Amino acid sequence: MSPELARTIRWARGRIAWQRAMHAASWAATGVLACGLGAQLLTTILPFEVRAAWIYVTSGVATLLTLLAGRVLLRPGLYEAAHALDRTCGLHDLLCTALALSTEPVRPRLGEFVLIQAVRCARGLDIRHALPLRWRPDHRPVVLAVLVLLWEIVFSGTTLPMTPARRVAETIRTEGKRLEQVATQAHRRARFTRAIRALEAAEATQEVAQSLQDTRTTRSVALARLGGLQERLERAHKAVQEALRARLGSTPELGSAEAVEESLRRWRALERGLGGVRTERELERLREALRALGAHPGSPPALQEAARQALRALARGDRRTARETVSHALKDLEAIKRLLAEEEGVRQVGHEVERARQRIARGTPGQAMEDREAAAGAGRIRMSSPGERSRGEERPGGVVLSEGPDEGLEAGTGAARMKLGPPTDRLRTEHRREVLRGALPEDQVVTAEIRGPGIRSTPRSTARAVSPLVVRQVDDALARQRVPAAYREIVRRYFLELARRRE
Amino acid sequence: MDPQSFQAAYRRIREEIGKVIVGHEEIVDQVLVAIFAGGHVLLEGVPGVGKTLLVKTLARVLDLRFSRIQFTPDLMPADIVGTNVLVADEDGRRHFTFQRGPIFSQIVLADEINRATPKTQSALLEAMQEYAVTVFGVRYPLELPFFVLATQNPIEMEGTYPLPEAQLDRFLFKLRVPHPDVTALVEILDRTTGSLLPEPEPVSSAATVQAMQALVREVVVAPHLRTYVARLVQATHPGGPHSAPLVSKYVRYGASPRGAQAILLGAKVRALVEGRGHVAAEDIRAMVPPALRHRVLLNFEGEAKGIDPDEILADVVAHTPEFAPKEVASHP
Repeated sequence: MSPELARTIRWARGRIAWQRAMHAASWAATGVLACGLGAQLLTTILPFEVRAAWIYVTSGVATLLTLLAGRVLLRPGLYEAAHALDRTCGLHDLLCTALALSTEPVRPRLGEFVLIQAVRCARGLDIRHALPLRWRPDHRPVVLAVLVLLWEIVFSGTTLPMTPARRVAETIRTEGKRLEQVATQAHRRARFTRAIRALEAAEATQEVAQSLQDTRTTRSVALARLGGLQERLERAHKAVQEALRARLGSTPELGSAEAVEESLRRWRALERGLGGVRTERELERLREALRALGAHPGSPPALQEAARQALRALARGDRRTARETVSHALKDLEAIKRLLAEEEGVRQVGHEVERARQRIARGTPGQAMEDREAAAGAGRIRMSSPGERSRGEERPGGVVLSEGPDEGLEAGTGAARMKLGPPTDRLRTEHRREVLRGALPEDQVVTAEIRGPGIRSTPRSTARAVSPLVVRQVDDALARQRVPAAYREIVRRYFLELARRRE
Repeated sequence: MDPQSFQAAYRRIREEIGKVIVGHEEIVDQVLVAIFAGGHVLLEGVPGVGKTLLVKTLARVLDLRFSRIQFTPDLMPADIVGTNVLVADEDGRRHFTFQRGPIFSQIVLADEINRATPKTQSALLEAMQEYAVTVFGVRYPLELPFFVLATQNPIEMEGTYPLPEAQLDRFLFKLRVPHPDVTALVEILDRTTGSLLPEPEPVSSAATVQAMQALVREVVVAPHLRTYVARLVQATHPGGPHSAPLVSKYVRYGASPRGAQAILLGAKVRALVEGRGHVAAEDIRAMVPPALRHRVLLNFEGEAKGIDPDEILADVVAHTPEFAPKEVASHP
């Protein structure tokens, strides 16, 4: 075969292979995009998520791989390439006839004529023009790509009723509501304790919780938001812990609110005593108390030093300095108390966020999952819920039992309702005392009480337990009644003093 | 002779015929293709459309001896091939001498072939196949080139003897001569009703025609095209793996191997007419209708519905791939 003819046909073969690979790649892109769109449609039924970006990336990768594989696998034979070139260039099967002739040992009389014609024709061929390497205009992948994007923008997160996807969406929305309630309570507590970081954590949680209540929030988006929030809470928690560590040093006794409260009570008593001491005996009692505080190993070094300073000032007869030192110590303690409140607030919110994240990840709504967890068996260590540490019963081995079925943070959020279903008529009955009358001998009547369902009444509690709420209401009233800014602190202090006296 | 001189000779012949024959370009081309392929043609058309004139003109232009046989029911085989007659020489001795019939020409027009009895038809058809006639045990070869052009009227079917399939198969092509269109008819009127009648000149000869026929056999055919022809013929057979949909529905019998030969020979002539030394796929496709339309036998349903064999052949061409990669995988 003529070298020119062979070179031309080989060149054409390479370009045909590329053309076929591009065609196959176009189909691959179409296929992947169609599958992606199908998967997007399926998200209305099944609880999984498909992002348009993933589809585009997969489509791109599939296109590239098909292109490379097609270049190798779809390469035509020389005869096929010659035929394709004949057809493309309108050569009336000249090249493939010449190629077949070149391999035949005996050629017909017109064989040479055909070969000469083929070589002449091959010289004049512009293969680049005849077999251009460009994508065939195919609207299918473009249309599918637009549909995928449109779905992402317009219909993402849409779910059909009575489907697993709808149940997950409901879980996300339920957890959003629950988290918002938790955040609202944490916000109230933080305002009362003036815990700035806890307040910020509660506000951030509220914001995320509200976004979760959007019906089209997908699971991955919800988890991403909760993850971001968790990171933020973690940072806040670490900052609070560091501040606490800086103030407390290595004094683990003050690591609880109760210990700080006790310490505060003792220092306040000291302050009051320094303000109204009259007899030497009272003074000696104060010195004794200061000595005890200065030597107390559980107190932070700063407080011990303050107690010693106050003791020295008293020894000098300088009551004013001693009182000022005690006041400073009290402020330190107040700061520690606030930090502890902050730590507690941030920790609680973080804990709730973690619970919500786990529930959304499992797609199990609210309390039902906890019920299953509880049923999963004893010995399983789980994270405690806010307030659970004080109420929960700790068993040997560090196992914390879950709270009771009706112990939610909000009224009516317990699991009993979910477990029992709608209340029966018996449960809805009003409590009344029943008297049974039996048939007894004449003039003898026996009465007996039976216990029926609980009385429905307005809950009451002691002033001590509700005092934080009173203060919050004061704050709210101050904000609502437009108390002039200059008087707010005075009014607030008045109510706080009232609360303290009640204690 | 090479493809260029073939093309030139063909053009001269074609132009000369065109002086007399108005319109019917495709028919003229296909008749010429059949002559150079060494085959015979069955012309089907109503009377008066120029069939006889075409054959006469062809004989004149090719400078071949021409004879015409009008087929009638009482025509006998001897009327065609000739017979031994008793003649007396100068000495008064009598002996039999073979009197040649009209078949002993180079171009024979068998007019209305379906009007003669099958016995007479078979006498002609033997000559077509063997290029010789045998009378009383003596074989008389026909002068080459030998070309039979038979005609039949598709309308008047009463009192006719339609050619059996085996005899139809002997014709390379079956051509349908249509009515001339208005422009052609006006041109016919101008040429035939005036004082100056066009007279064609001989531009070829028997030797040239034979040389052209020999060159046709040298035309190169690519392997995939040979396979294509075979697949096309195979596709006319109902129940086969390559059958076209209409074939499965309306065809009783498909084309014989002679059909494949007819296609390929016609395609070779067409390639030379185009100045090529090799056959192209379009040559093959162009030859499918004239070569196969009389070789495809319709079933009862096809005949009842009046299906045109050309429709079936168009379906065959449409459903037969020109290039099957599996079949040419063994090629380089």
